[in-house]
Amino acid sequence: DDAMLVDFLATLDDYIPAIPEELVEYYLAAGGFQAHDSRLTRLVAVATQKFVSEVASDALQHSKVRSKSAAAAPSSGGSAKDPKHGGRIVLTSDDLAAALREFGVNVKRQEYYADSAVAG
Amino acid sequence: MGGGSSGGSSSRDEFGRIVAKMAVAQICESVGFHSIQASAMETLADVAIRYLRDLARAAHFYSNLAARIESNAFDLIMAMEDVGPAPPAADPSRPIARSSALREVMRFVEYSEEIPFARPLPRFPVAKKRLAAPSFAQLGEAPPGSHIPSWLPALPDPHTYRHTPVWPDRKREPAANRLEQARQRRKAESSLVALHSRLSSTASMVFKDREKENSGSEENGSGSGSGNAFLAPPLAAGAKELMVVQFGGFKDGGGGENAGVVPQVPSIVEAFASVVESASNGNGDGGLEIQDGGGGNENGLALVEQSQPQPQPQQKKGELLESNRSQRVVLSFDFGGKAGSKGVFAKRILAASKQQQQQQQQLLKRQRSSVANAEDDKDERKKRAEQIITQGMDTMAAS
Repeated sequence: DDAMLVDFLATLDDYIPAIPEELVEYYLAAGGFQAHDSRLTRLVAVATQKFVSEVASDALQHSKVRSKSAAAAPSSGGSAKDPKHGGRIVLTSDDLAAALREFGVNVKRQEYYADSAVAG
Repeated sequence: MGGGSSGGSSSRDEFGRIVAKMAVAQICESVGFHSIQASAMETLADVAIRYLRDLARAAHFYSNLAARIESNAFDLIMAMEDVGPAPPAADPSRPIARSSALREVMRFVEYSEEIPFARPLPRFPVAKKRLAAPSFAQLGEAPPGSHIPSWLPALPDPHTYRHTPVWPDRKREPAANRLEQARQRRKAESSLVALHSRLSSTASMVFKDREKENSGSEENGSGSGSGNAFLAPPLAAGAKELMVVQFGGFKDGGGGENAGVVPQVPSIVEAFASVVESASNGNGDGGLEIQDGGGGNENGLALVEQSQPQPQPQQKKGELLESNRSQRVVLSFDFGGKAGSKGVFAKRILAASKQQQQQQQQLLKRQRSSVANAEDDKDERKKRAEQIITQGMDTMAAS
């Protein structure tokens, strides 16, 4: 087990995380984490990247489910799926909120803004 | 836990937020999204930053718990377990190296592709190098007092904290200032007087062929059309500068008013005929009445439009006073006595040559006589005004 950990840390030397190291070091310093080993900072970066990618993939599943249900209900599914094939998949706040709720993060989005006669 | 971290120093870690947004967008792109809503991106970036901070705080907490100030890998792994979703079977007897969180991360590293960050980043935050205050030894000063070591920063210069009063440097005393002021005023007055005399001489040449009588308004009248208005002598205080109308009749209606200071009573009435015409043009039946404003010294002529006609003028003017307007237009002109006196005063100031004095005296006599004859002339004037007004109305009715 310990050998596994050591090997893992060795593989971390080659891995370049998506979140840059400078950013990670800045926020680690803000939190009080003092690490003189660069592998540890990379471990933190990798953990954060894993978290974000999990959230994003969950949101993707949600959006696919939504589009499927929207396609199945009105017509035979040919036209409503166009935004998926030809169009673009957009990460919306609703999908993100649904995905984050499973991780314990409650993000509430306003339904409408009533500050102008046009919008609200 | 982590209460004020996201909202507290939002102005300081603006750069960090932007970089986190870029990283999050890159990760989303690798997952398969084509685009992302702006609010969703901000939310996800905030969540990622919170995650980072929570990891750091938890790891720090665990290291402090073990009486260390520097965190190591085990602290970090325990923090990851705290932060992440709960492992399916939390078993405290399991060795740490077998933690599910760690294993998931390892799996992630194995199977996912590397996504390098798009831009190179400098180390941040950048700390500004502050210039330290020089010490006594650096300045070469001896510290005041033997209890102060020389490696301490030097004391500030006395001019920074001592306030000395500043006396204005006066080259002259106030009495001399006043004398100087009076002298300059006298100089200005004399130059003004010289200018005035020069201008009046040119203006008087313009007027000589204009008036029938030798009018005394050399200083007070203004050149009517042929002379340059700017070269006309300045009016005395209180007199108003008015437009001068051509005396050839009432052809040019539109609001021409005579320069009231010209002491030609009949010509003023002629000029008022044009005013009457213009007023009647604008307002239909014009009710105009020529009043004498004041008596005595003033020979003022007031033009009053009234809606309630008085019986005596009504007889004279006939149909002119049938309007129902309540508009009152009062034009009062001061000519004759008052203007004449003003002219006399001005001339007294400028009296330089005997010829001018003689002219002035002649003028004075004429003006006084004109004032004396005012009462006699009034009826004549009124009749003439009446004639002119009726003529004007006829022409208006005809055209």
